Amino acid sequence: MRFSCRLVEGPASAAWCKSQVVIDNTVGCTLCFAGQIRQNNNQRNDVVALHYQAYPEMFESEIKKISSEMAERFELLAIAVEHSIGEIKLGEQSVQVAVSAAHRRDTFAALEFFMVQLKKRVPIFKKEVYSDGAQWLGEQD
Amino acid sequence: MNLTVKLFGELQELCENSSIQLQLPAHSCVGDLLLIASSQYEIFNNRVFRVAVNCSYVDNSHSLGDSDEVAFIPAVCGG
Repeated sequence: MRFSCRLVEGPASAAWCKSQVVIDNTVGCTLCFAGQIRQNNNQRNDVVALHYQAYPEMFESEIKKISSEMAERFELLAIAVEHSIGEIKLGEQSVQVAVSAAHRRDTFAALEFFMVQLKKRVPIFKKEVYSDGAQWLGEQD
Repeated sequence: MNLTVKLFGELQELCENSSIQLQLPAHSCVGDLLLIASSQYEIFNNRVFRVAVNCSYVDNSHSLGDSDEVAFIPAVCGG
């Protein structure tokens, strides 16, 4: 299974991920996920931006480990992940994930598996910025 | 041995530095490292974080070496 990932300053865009997973004519399905900054969380309704920080070397190695686990569980051809660092404003996208396979069924399960693991393991840190302050966030579902 | 510990997120902000230097006895483990870090920096007391060595999460019994890359990893929340 082919694996690609990168960190980008500013918003993430889908084009690079798609280009990494459509690897040849054996691909029959591509599934893409985009995570977007929303204005509300559990406590507040005035989020104006998120500030992301990453541990770049471990970001890559941890995503590689998750990809290996996915290769054992699902019939995938490729996965690509692009995640933002720095400040991402309300409405902008901070993460893009694309997976490809011969058939659609495994792509849905694989993408959900990846997102759960991303939020548990991959060293990305998030600070929520409000109109009157900011706070680092704990682990989320 | 002298170890550099990388800091991220809230830990980096509270320490006002992206890393700290700690002096440890030879053959120390991660548990020893945490005790020394907590004794020198109050911010590490009563705060939940994981430890990574050479880009892998480890537990307190993991042995440390001079050339290890060590990081304190606060709550992660990608996406």
